[in-house]
Amino acid sequence: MLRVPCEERSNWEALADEFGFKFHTMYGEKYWDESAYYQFSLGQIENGIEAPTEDIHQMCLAVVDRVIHDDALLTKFAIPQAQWALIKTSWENGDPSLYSRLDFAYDGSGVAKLYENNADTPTSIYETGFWQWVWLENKVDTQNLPRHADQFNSVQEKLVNRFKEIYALNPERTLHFACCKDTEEDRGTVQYLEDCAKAANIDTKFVYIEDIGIDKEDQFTDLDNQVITWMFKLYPWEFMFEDEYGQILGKQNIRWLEPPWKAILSNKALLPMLWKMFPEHPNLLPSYFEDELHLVPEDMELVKKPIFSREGANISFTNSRGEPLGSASDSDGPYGEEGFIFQQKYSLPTFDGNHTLIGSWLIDDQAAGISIREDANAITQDMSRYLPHVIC
Amino acid sequence: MKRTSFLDLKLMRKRSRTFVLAPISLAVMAGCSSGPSEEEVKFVKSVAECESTTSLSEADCQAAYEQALKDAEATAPRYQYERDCENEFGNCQRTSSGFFVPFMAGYIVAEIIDEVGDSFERKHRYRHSYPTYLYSGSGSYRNKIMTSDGFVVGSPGQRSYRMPREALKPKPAVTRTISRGGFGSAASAKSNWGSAKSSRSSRGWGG
Repeated sequence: MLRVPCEERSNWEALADEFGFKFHTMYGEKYWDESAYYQFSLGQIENGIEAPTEDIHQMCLAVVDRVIHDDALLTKFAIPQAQWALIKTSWENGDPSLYSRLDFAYDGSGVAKLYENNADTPTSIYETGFWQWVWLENKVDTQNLPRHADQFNSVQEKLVNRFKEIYALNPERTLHFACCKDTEEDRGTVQYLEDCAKAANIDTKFVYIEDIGIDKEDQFTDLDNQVITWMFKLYPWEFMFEDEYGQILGKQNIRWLEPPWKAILSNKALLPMLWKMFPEHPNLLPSYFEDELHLVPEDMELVKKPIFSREGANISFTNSRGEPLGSASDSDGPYGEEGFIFQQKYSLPTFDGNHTLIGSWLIDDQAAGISIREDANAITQDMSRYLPHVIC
Repeated sequence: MKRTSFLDLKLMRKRSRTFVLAPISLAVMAGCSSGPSEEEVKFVKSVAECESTTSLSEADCQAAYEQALKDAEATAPRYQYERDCENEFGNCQRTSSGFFVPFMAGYIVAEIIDEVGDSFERKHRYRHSYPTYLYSGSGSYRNKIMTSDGFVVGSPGQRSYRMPREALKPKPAVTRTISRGGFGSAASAKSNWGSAKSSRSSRGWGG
């Protein structure tokens, strides 16, 4: 695994404009960064990332099955009791999942370690499935990369196929796509997924989360008063539970992407639960609930993460007893009311002074590709840059 | 290869995209034979007319009628004011949710033939049944048969009509929204945090 500096394509911004990739630069800072790429060997991809990704996904499903059937665990996962039935029903009905992203610390030589599972509302899929694919295509066409240069990326193809499979379970339904207002990044992500659904011959519509309404039967409606019967929402389940309409969830004849049972996987309580069920698994970091700190070896430093959090917010470093170390790297944020979990401190590898995080994408249960984020800080946050990769 | 070898870039372009509008009138297709993208349908005003002009049984004609009535409840063109409805469709009625909708002028049925055993024993069933209305507004669609979403089937009186399958897809149900905005407040509460970091409010809620 190498970081290779390279020339940017001279026309890439015009191309981004042509394809509607609007969030390549945010707040005056580069987000899409093609001044370098990461190079992997096929073995690193297949043995180091692809195989563990599919294994861990199966382990995660085992956790869901355990938690669903244990009220004490549902409480530990900070899931409101009013939503237990919704989540259980969706799991027992086998509601299909579209996608998720596992984040790994991996340097190409050791074993990839799971940081967390973005199972509910993962982003950067457009950059991964489409935009870095185009980058490699252009680089090969202009002979800046060898013809045999490959990439771990069948994301878009698998997405379209997965939409076809799920459509077969919801024939004739229109699929509504939704995200919050005023976020170009989320809007772009949802547009991409909508394009993939259209490619699967699905009728689609878009509605902003804030514009969703209800009729007198508590069915959800869009701005044309059309009843919503199938919805992809780039909006976390834990937010939906907290919102006003959270209390009527479960009354509608509606299918969700991601399904409600994903609330158990996008939850940091997943990490100590995985460690409990699969102790000493090479791809897992030791992780603990707040009431388990007595199990932590004396010399182990920990990372304290809120049960619900996005984009690296509210993360801090502690000693083995959970006491803060007051590190300059600690991040603040609006999360943590619902409790925390602790995970062994395990630093991201650095390449040319950048901390590098690998996102490994799953379409349903199949590993489909990777995304790479770089940050100057040890905790990758929402301003980390996206870099393409090749397999050579 | 770990990478998909071909992606259709045409589909992904956002600039200079062209949209294909659904055909509004069938007039241009009247002379064409029904290809795989079209279907032959019959327009009937009653169960009795259905029985006499199609190969369907009385029970099927009745079922098709009831299906059309049920669909009409969910999909009929809706008007807030009776006058607007009357201007376009003549006679209108008030629904339980307070809208005005035209009376169903009849329904169109598409037949399917089940081959049972050999071809001498064929059974006719109805595959689709859709409510239709008679447009009585001004302009070129006057006195034309129309579906709920404004698709013009043709002038009354023809033995059969050809319709694109696209137009025969079930119409989405519309309803009356009584409140909006019950989702999204959890996100906006979180985004009010930390005004020092101005970026927060415009970044997404994915991760």
